[in-house]
Amino acid sequence: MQIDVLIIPYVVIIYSSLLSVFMTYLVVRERDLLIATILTLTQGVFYSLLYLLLMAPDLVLTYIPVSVGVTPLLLFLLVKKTERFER
Amino acid sequence: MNRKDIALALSLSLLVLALSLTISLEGLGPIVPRELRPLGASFVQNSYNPWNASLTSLSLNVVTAIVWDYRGLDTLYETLVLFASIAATLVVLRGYSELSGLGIKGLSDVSKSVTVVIAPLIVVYGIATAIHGHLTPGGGFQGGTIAVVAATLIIAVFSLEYLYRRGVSTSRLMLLRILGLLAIILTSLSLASIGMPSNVNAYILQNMAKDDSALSMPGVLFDTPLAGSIFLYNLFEFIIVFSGLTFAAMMLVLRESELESIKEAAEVYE
Amino acid sequence: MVVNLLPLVLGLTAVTVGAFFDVVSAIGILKLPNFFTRVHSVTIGAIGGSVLPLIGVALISIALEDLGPQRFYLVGTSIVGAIFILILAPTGAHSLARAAYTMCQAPRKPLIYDALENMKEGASCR
Repeated sequence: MQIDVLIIPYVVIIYSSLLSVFMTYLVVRERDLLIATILTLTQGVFYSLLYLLLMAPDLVLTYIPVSVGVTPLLLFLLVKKTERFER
Repeated sequence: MNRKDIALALSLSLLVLALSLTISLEGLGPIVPRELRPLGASFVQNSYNPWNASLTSLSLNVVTAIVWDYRGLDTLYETLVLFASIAATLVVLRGYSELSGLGIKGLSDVSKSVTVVIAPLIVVYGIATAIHGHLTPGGGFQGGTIAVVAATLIIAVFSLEYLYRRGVSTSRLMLLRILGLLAIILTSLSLASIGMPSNVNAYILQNMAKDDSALSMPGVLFDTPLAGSIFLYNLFEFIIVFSGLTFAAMMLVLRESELESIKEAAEVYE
Repeated sequence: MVVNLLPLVLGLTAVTVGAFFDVVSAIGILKLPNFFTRVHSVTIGAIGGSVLPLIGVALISIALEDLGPQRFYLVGTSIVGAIFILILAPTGAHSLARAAYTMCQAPRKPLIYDALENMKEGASCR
């Protein structure tokens, strides 16, 4: 069977964007803000995958440290200074 | 096992399957469009083209050539926006007290020794991404954010006190940031200020020699393309981003209550 | 097609053993009773399930000589990635377990021997 290989990256793009939307839904639903931060990090990983598939390696190099390194640290610090559970 | 767990497991395994299919079939290849629009074609033809000296920027990475040469003024103002946002952080958190003298506690010995191995590697990788920005994907901002990860790792695993003892304080980072921005502005003005007294045509943010101006930044170092001002801009942007984001992280990590109690005790003692 | 048979067989064996470790670690995450034992199973998945297959990929790409000199880039990338995972995954598991122990966030129900009994931080929650 001949698969049209040109279509597969587009399928992965659609799939990972849908998955990142699902992760965003989980972030909004989550009451524990630490777990919500970790889910935000997962969504950032999916976004960097999207950038990689759309052939933007410069954006990938920016987005991975920002979304995996810096933003979770700032959010953890904010959670530590305020409250862990959403009311 | 509820419905959420099943949905998560199914979607993640399908993602892994789709990714491995993509990689094994075509190696992420075919997403590149075959046809280029005229603007893109002209950028691709001119960004590294030593035979067309009036339009080239001698940068192998087209994105960096656009960001720092063809559209250099945009990026200069983006750098100013980052500068102003860090200044806004300083305005919100003004009146902070920065005292050293708290003990170093940190995480366990295993984490500390692994961080000692890993953090210099991260910084080296960031510097390489920054100063190879005209050859490979990357640039100043990318390298700076990669190096900031090492700084936040050191803050989290050791403590803020460790950075103070190594001589990194917020005022020094602020000074480094201002010097970096000043260096970028001076680089953008340098050719114009050289050309103006001797009555030679030159432009602000000029990189290579144009038709009506013979002045040029150094284009080639031995046999490696240096891309003139793009190399310098990437280096200074690395310094700005690294010092600015480290500054913001240090401001947010300050343990205000403990610092206040130490300060009060010192005042009582005096 | 020119193929060195010995590195190819070794690499395929490493990848297969890595898949076996992955299955073991997944079963362990589902079945083990305790947070600390589940962290142990995750580490088995990280070391046996990613370091071994990466080394296997390096061996396979040494074996396939038709790929030309570019295959040595693949070898170097795989081995560097394997070394990094080998250093970082146990450290992450260690700090997770230590944080859960000292902050009393995880039950230590099937407890046989506690080497950290005399430590100051985690002693309060027993």
